Amino acid sequence: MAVDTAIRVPVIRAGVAARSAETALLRGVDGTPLAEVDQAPPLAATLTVAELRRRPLGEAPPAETFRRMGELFGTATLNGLTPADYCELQARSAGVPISVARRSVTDMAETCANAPLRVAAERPAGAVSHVEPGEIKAVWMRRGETLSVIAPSNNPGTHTQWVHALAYGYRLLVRPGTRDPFTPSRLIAAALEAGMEPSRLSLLPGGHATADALVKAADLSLVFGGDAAIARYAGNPGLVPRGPGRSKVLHTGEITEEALDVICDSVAYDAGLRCTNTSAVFTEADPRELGQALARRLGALVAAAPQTAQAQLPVMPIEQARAMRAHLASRLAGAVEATAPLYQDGGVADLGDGSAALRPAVLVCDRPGHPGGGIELPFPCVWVLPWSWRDPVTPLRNTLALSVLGDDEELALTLLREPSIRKVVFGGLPTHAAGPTSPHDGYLSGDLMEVRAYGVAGRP
Amino acid sequence: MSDDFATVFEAPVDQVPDLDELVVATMTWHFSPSTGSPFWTGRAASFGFDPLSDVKTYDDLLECFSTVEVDWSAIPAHTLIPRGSAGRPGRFGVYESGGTTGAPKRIVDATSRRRNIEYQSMFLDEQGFPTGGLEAGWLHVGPTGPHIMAKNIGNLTELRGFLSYFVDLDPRWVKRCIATGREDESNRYIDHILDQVKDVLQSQDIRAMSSTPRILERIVARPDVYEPLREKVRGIIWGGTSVDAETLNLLENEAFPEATIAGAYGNTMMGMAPQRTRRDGDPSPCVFRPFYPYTIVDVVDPVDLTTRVPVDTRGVVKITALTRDLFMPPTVERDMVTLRAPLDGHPGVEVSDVRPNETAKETIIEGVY
Repeated sequence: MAVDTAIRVPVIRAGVAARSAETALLRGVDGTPLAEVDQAPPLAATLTVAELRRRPLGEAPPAETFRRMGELFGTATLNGLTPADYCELQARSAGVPISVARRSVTDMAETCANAPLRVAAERPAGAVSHVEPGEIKAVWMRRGETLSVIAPSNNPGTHTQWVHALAYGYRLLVRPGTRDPFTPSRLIAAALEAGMEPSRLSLLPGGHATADALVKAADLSLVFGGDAAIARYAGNPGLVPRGPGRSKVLHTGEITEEALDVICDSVAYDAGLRCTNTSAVFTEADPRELGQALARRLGALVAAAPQTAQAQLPVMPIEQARAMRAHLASRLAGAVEATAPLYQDGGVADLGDGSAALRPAVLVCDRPGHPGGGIELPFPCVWVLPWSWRDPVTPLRNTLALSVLGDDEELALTLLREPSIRKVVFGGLPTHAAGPTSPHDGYLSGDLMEVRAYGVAGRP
Repeated sequence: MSDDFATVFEAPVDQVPDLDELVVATMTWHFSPSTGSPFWTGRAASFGFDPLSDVKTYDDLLECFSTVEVDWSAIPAHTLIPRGSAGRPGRFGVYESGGTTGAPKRIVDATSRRRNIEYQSMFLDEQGFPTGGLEAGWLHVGPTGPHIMAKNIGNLTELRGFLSYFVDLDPRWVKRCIATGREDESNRYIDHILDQVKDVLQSQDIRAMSSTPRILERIVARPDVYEPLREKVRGIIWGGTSVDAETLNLLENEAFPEATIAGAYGNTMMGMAPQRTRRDGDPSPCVFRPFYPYTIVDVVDPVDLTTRVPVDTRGVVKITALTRDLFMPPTVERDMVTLRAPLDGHPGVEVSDVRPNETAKETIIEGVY
């Protein structure tokens, strides 16, 4: 097939780039051909993992390698792409505003450099790195050698999670998301350029069957996906699931400018495509009043082609955008869209080139148990539900990130005690806020690492 | 026992009889009251044409039979046996299609399909595929039971001097498991099959095998089965389902580099189209050559099923069977293929890149991933 694009994303097997007899043409959200992506069928995944098992695995890469990897990601020409080229491709392909990729280019340097520090913070306090003769102590060990990553395309930042796995010493096999092979490809190129041992890095673009083979073959698997994708691998003992975040804000007290700032930032930061973006707000105030205030602010976000600086919303091929909106309409269950009166031509902003941006949606619900509280969609879409002290915890369960607004820290701590709420921020922080070593959904090492005992006889 | 039609029905498999002569022989054999099957002679009464006088060419056949619909899943199979076959060599058997996409279709066959397998074996010789010296074993891991595969493999191993070993796979059960979302169950079933493969490999001298690409892939993922197989096997035939070019490349060059690997495209209704021996400049790594003219494959436009597609274009297959044992009028099957220009002045077609004709349906997934 003749393609008028010079960009090719090769398969990488144990650090070695390879062509495939099967390729897929990756188009931008507007239909423009962007790149040819070599496809790794399931057998490539199986054979790559088998090949890795035949090679001994050494110590985790040194801290300097990660620092250099991050620096290269942010500054170098990798795979023939400058950072600016990469950002444009990522934006046009994934439909994510280019500001997101631009920020990630700078953030990645810090994230990678910080990886060894994070690993040190995660290490159990009792685990030592060296056992002296005469000691029997805890040592921190990997649960396996190979980690497959079934990656998404929603945000370049998602890939920072597997950088941590490299820092634990794992060998990685990444099945990129269909719409963003560029970010993992660039990260892997940066790691190799930084001198990381090649067998630690594989990139296997492919479909469901490739993902299945990879999950089956690897020791452990970090799987990003919707509920159905996660359920698909539920029986796999090595599964580390990353499903929908269903992040929420709990708003108590008055509707203030500050509260609206935090909620809108939580909903729409990075175009609403993060699992830590808020998809539901529970409020002690009148949901209708709050919904209308949010709608006025969110409704002003700019619909534009993703590669333009002013873009603030996710962009998709127009028929997909319409299907997404139709899906939302089918899930309303009596909720009232507060944003609807603001859009004369509906929630889908036709960009005129075959693509469309999804305008924010604010849905006001009349009861705390409305199903909207658990519906997360890949654009700024927020359900506003009533909340009361009669049942403060139940509606807030199953939440990746929860921001508690108001002045009641006791309430925040009560919610922190609920195990299905994975992060609580209090006092005016947006749900996407994170510290340099704070856990995202528990520490990844909680799933990938464990302590074992090691003893050495004393010298006579 | 030969008759007037032996020169076309039973011509040497490396020779190609005239298509229209074969059409006339087929019409005469299957529709004459004395030799035809109860099914076809009975059906002919309701045709608006006379197969004996109106169908003299393949184009006549396409034209006349375009309105004849046959529900192969509902015909009592014994009524398909030509009356003229009584006393001829070979015993008829009943064979069913995969039955994974609906009710199984049934056909009958005595010796016609063996000729198709002789044709396949001729290509295997050309490709350096091993022979068994009457002692080595050939392991078939795939459908047996009602499917014609077991008979085909039995014929092929006999022709090539192998003992045959079978591990049965019920494709209908696998399909049902997957259709109802019970992938764990299908995985357990595949593991059950692989355990049996391992058992055969442990004590038997297996040097060749036949299976589906999917099973071969699963074998590679099981070191306890893969390692002994890779060590022993020098010839592998894959078929039954499609395979992409890269998987084929990996099977040939990485997974089983010591083995000669040959593809076979076929099914119960069309017979077996062996992989034509590869040439420099082939448009695809695996080009199949149907057993022309006994199996005619027309590649037609998926929307307008009466228009043939040009060379190097994709289309669906329309299959006609013209053999002593079975007549199947032009029938559109589910496979999509690319039509290729035949080499060596071969009068039939060649096809490649076989895929099931399925339309993908996009679904909305809730969540940011």
